[in-house]
Amino acid sequence: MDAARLEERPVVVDAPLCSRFRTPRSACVTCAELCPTGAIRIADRGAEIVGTCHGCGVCFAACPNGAFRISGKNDQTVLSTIRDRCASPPATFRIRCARGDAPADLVVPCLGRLTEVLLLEPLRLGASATEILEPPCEACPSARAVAELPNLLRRARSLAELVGRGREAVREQRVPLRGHPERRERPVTRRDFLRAMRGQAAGPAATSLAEAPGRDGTGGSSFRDLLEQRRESVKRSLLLDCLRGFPKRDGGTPEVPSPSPATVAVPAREAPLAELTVTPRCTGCGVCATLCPTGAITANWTERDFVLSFRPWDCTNCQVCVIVCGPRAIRARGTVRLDSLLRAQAVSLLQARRATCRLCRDAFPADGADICPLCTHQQKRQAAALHLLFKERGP
Amino acid sequence: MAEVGAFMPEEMVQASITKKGPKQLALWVDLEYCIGCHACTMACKAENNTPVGVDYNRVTEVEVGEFRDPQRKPELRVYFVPMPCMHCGKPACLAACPVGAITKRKEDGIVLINKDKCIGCKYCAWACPFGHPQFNAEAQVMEKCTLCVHRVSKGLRPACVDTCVARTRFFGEMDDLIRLIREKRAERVSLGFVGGKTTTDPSILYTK
Repeated sequence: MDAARLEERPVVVDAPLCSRFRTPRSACVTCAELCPTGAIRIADRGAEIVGTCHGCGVCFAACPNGAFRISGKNDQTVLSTIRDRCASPPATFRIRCARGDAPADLVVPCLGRLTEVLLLEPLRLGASATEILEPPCEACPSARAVAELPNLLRRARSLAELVGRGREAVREQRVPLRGHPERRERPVTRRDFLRAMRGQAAGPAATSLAEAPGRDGTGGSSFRDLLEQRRESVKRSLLLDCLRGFPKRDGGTPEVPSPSPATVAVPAREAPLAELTVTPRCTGCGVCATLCPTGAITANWTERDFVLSFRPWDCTNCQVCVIVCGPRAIRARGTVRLDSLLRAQAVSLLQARRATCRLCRDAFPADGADICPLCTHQQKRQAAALHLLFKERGP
Repeated sequence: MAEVGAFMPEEMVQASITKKGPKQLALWVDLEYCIGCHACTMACKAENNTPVGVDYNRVTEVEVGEFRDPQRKPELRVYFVPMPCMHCGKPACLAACPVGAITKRKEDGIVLINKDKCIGCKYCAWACPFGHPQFNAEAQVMEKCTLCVHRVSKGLRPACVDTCVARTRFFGEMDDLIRLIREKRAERVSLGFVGGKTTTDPSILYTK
């Protein structure tokens, strides 16, 4: 089997960014729930594309980490379309889906495909508002794909407010539904048909070859190697580029190099990032740093200190760190201030002196003892277990 | 024994001593005859090539009895309890692992850590009721007794069983071991599990 042909699939999973790949404790099923064709399955190695993928890209938009790679119309190509269109920016930039019946500046396969950056980029380029032309989605066979659209709009509006454009800069408008999906100009040829069939067969064939190395570019290297490979989240870096490209609020004079962005606080559930706090119960195990999909948390042991630092602009609010923390030391705040997306200032979550355990010789955050809390705990556990074994011989 | 058979059919006797369940390889350690020579610890260390500080099979000493009370006859005894991994039926370490690196093999019930997946977070050590998993600082992974899975798969016994000087260790399937214990020590057996049988369902059998 020629693996290169299987690689031609329209969407592939970037496993190291998938929360489900990094920890089986994550309960994230957003991509599987939103995929209009139900082509995504969540398995041991995270999200997998098993069914007929249309390449609509809803999964990429749905995933907080953007753990999918679209080979066709990905965000970069759509953004360049927007830039072309905005060479002379329209007052209102209209976006519709393939089934919406209205003139528009940009057509996406489905409104579920939209990401924050696609809504904000026209504003950055000079449009006074972005308008989503929304047909009655409940009548569409892909209705499940737009389940997250209200959340996306809330996030985009908060971000628009953050960059000083006001919440009303992102609007929606009802339009009628087109009777049939758009037809291609060119009639379907036999070659088109066979190509489509090959595309449909590729997913199941790849699944049957699941054990073969080299699949999705993830095979061949071990889980630990993949964890350590930090993949940049394209979704996030495009959004940050866009947000930072907005003109500064106070004119951006050279005397004030980093003007303070608007302070916008939103409920944590609809925020694109989390605000984390760490209690002193932290044992310095570094699980949060190891498993964070985007590498927003780093745990650093130096000669003398342990520092847990957090880069909020990389955080995607996937909650993996909160879920995996054993001592429940890491917490997410209920409200999130969005301006930390623009301030490139790392936050120090925890700072402690370094101590080395006399028994296991591993470093731990100092608490005055020379044996680490784990070794003490293990000794107690062992003694308690043995006590139960010999209990019956007691008086 | 013949009279027992007269009262009770043989298969009922067998059923009463045979645990029905998935296959589980186990060890039986006869504490009565363990002399605390630590040969099993050393054999294990040599077999698994563990670094300093990591021992899959530590032997702990337990003093049982009371001698301070003048009213009672002093009855003291020191037991040597080898503490390998208990290969629990419901492993607490498996439940605690944040990356799913720990598996309990269906075919023989051995609990193993996948070192390719382990991220060395030590959560299994926190969770284990027997304080068994240990951190290998060189490889930055957790390690624990594998019941010498590499030997078992070749049809050999674990190194600690083969090396035991006092022949106090026996290896086999749990059901067979229980039958063996009944045969050897039927009249005064007191079968024990470290930590009791209820918590995580440990599989290493002790008699004393």
